[in-house]
Amino acid sequence: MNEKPIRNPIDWKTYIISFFITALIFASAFGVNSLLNGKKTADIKSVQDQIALDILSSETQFDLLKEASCKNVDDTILSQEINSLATKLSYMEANNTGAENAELVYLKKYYSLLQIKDYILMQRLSVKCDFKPISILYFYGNKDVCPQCVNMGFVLTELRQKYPEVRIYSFDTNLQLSALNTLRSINKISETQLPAVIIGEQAITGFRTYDDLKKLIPELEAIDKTRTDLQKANKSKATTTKSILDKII
Amino acid sequence: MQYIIEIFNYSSLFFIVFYSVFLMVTLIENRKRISGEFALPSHTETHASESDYPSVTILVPVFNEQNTVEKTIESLLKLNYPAEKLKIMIVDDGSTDNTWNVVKKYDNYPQILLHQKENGGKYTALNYGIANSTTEMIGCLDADSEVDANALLHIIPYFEDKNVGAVTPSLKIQNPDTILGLMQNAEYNMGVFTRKILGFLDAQYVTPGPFSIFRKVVFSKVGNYKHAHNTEDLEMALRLQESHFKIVNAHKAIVYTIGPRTLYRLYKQRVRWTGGFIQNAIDYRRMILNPKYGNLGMLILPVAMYSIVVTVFFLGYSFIKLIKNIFETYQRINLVGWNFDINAFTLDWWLYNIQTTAIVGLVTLVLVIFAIWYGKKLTGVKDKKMIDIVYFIVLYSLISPLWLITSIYNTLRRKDAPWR
Repeated sequence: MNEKPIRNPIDWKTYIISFFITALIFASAFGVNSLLNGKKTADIKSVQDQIALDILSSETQFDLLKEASCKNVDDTILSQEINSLATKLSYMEANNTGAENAELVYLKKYYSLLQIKDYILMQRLSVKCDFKPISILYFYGNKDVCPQCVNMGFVLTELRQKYPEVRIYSFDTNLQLSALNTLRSINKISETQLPAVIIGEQAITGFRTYDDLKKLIPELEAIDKTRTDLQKANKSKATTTKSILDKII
Repeated sequence: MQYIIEIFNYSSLFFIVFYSVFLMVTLIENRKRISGEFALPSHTETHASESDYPSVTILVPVFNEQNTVEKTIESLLKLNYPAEKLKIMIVDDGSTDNTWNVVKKYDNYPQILLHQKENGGKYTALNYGIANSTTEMIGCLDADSEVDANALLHIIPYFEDKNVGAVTPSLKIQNPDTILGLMQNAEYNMGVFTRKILGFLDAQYVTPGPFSIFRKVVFSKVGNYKHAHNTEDLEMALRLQESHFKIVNAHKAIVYTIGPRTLYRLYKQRVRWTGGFIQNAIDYRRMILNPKYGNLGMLILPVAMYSIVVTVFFLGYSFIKLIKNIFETYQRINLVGWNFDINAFTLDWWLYNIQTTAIVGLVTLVLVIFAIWYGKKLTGVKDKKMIDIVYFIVLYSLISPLWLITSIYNTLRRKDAPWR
């Protein structure tokens, strides 16, 4: 052991093979990921197409039958589907860190248009038929412009969950969409006033708590009342059935 | 900023996966060598005559180890090795308990040499033993460990290669029964795998205190043990590597060690290990990314250093995210009250975020499980339980950041972690 021991040289082949295997793993993972994302986008698109079809169908129905047929017009077109769409879009928004995804922007624009169309249809319905939908227009912006919008979103989500009857149309003011800009200017909402909520004819700017908001919509009290009445009725029905049963036995 | 974090995340992940794949590729390239080494017991037949066996001294440095030292000595006495070629040297490093009286009863064993010295730390006890031994080979066994009877027989043939300066064994946890013990069992089995592969790569950077055997001449070439931030076994390995001595692994030589039984003791041990590694690596930074030191310099040391940084970074990152989530939830509850919405826990596949990182993480997890399983297979000891892998994967990621952060903190303060 007098001569200096020799170390095995680096085997660069192993490094290169390992590099390619690792690259392959990453490429497959990216592939699977974009495949799933593509499916998600396609899913949203198909829901939106369905809604578009439904709206077009109602409009046509409305035009065909004019005033005579208020009964036949389905007023629940959007509520379910548009709610699930809103959930998915907000999820996509939350998980798309970094730059705005072009696909997402497109979907949001389309969604905004559908909302506006539904809003107009509802307005027409309410004028011609004896039908008073509770509609809320909500304008929001990103964190830099509107730090309170996150909280306003929480309040409105809560409202939508408690009162599915309320139709909440939410609009991202950052979207460059002429129809949306028009809607905004009709309601005289400027960027500095976000978050802004339009209930009926009232324009409310700045953050409002859940209770504040509830006070602004007197119709909700009526809904609450019918709900409690219904509950009571059910209860008394149950008790009468029970008393009848008791008598029989 | 977001972009920088993303790029850092992906490149770190790539580097870590690359390292795991590299170990696997090395395993595949060397698989024939391993199966050849499996047949070692018959290989020792070449040492048929006793004179072919080199003389060996096993040092047992003890300091206040009255409860465990006996078992350690008994296991050494049972080693299958020619008695006249094997010396067992107990070096009492100034114990203040009953240890000396316990070991004194071995006074009349011809194989056993008893020495007592003033307390000076483990490395001084080792140096004392090296100075007082006369054999060709020299090894150490900590008083918290026991050896398998054939361990030495499995180790000695590896010294046929004249470039080999040290041979490391396979470490196992003795009777793992608690969750903490089982967790360490899986970890040690992964260590068996890694040590074997690093041996092939000439890149082992620890010659574990329990039963690593050295050629004695090595010490006269590279010098004695040093304090080395209380991880003298790590520093000695780096010093051997620096002098281009080979450190190989005898995977069938099994040593059982008592793992720390409480979380606090485990924490203390790991703070010492990790801190020792970081500080010794800083002392030997000239080896890092230096092609002169082969795979050790170009890949293994950089990975070991980088993985500490990455773990702490990921931990901090997830911690900030967690705080942010808690804050948002708090805000929401404040605004609209506690609202347990069952619909929020929908099973819609749509709402599950299957990210690239998650898929790659899954691949890495499979590689880790394979490494543990293979480590179990390598030693040939029956260990069919697989629950330890679960404990390891779940618990280790939760508790290892504790000692990683403390170690980094200690390094920044230039403080060495104590032994106990």
